[in-house]
Amino acid sequence: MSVASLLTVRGRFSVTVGQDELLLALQRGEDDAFRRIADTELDGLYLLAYRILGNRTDAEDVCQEVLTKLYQSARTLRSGTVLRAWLRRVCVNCCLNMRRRSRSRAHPDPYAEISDDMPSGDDTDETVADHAFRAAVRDALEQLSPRQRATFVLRHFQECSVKETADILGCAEGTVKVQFSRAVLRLRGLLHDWYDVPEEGGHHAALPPSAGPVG
Amino acid sequence: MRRCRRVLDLLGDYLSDGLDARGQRLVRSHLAECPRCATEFRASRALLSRLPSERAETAPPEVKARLLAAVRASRRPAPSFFRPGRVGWGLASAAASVAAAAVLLWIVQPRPTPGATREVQANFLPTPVPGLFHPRPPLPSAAPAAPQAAAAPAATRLAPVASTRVNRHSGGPREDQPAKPEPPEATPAPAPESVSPEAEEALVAPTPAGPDDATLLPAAE
Repeated sequence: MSVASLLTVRGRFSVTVGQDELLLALQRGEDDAFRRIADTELDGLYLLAYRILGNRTDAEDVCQEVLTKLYQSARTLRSGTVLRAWLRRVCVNCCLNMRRRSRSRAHPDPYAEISDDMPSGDDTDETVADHAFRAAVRDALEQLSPRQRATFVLRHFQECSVKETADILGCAEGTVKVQFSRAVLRLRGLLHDWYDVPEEGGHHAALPPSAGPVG
Repeated sequence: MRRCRRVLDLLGDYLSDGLDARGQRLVRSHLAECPRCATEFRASRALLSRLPSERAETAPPEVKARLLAAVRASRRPAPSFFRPGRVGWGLASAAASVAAAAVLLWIVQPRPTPGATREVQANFLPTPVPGLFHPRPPLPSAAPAAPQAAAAPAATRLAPVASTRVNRHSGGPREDQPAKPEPPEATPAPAPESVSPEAEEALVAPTPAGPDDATLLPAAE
């Protein structure tokens, strides 16, 4: 056994012990443990929910739902549960459920654009463009299927590994890879006005950069 | 063509380091020989670099504050405390048994000596409140007595009287039997101002042993 593998084993061990201690503290009903988890995980959960749902109000609702669920099911969590992955899984499920519920509505939140992406009066051209870009990204994500969107958000925005993403979404790793790559292709087509494809030297230089999706 | 399709499916993960060594080799070698996929690769890379990761980003502070406040509020009702099988139930049952013991004591308490029961009951029955809280009666009797004229001095003088009476009661429950009659006579007597000073003297003086009391009073103060 090499030193490096020993270190990784030790590192992993200490991580799970830390998580387990937090989980145990949570199961004992310690307010402090709950608050610590909420404090550290809320940022990621909120951004995840926001990217999947596309508006702040729903994202906040989902976060609250997730924390409630954490509190309710804290006692039934097995030791060794990776809290972060568990929370993300619950969060994604809540988001997908919410979208399913709100599909009957014509537009999820008519004021989302105003509150989130509208530039305010004193913004510079740059920030106006930035707002427009963010709105475009949000609309493009909206075009993906929910699972694709969740995969893309987890893999790209949240930098989860393939395995983590598969765990969170409850699917095979191969599915994650395919979904992610297709999401990227789809987004390229939807956002092609917003980025430049650099010409590259070498024998590929002659080829025109294609921004559209490839079937 | 089938190979291109497979590589395109792996491209995203190739770009975000999601492939193992074998997958990376496979994609890299294909990109080197397939210009079309190489273009795809560059375009995807350009897009992803345009969308920065949000791993280090934080939720808006006001949102986070609201959510944490909601957490705190929802936690307050303290289900953790009354969770079955936890300390909470122990505490709850302890509190319940203490309450039961208090009730029992209260029931048993009014019969300290067997001989006294009839008298005590006789005292209690007609006027339950003055019987239970004996020290009280003089106060209401004097309070209406001192309404308009000598309100302040009467009150100041009443205070020590009341305290001495309380002391005596706590000392001997037997001795206040003779003092019992006064509450009925004091309360119905609505005699206004003139009663207050003399009534106090009367209340203090006739009770058990005059001289003893006189010596007791300064000692108590």
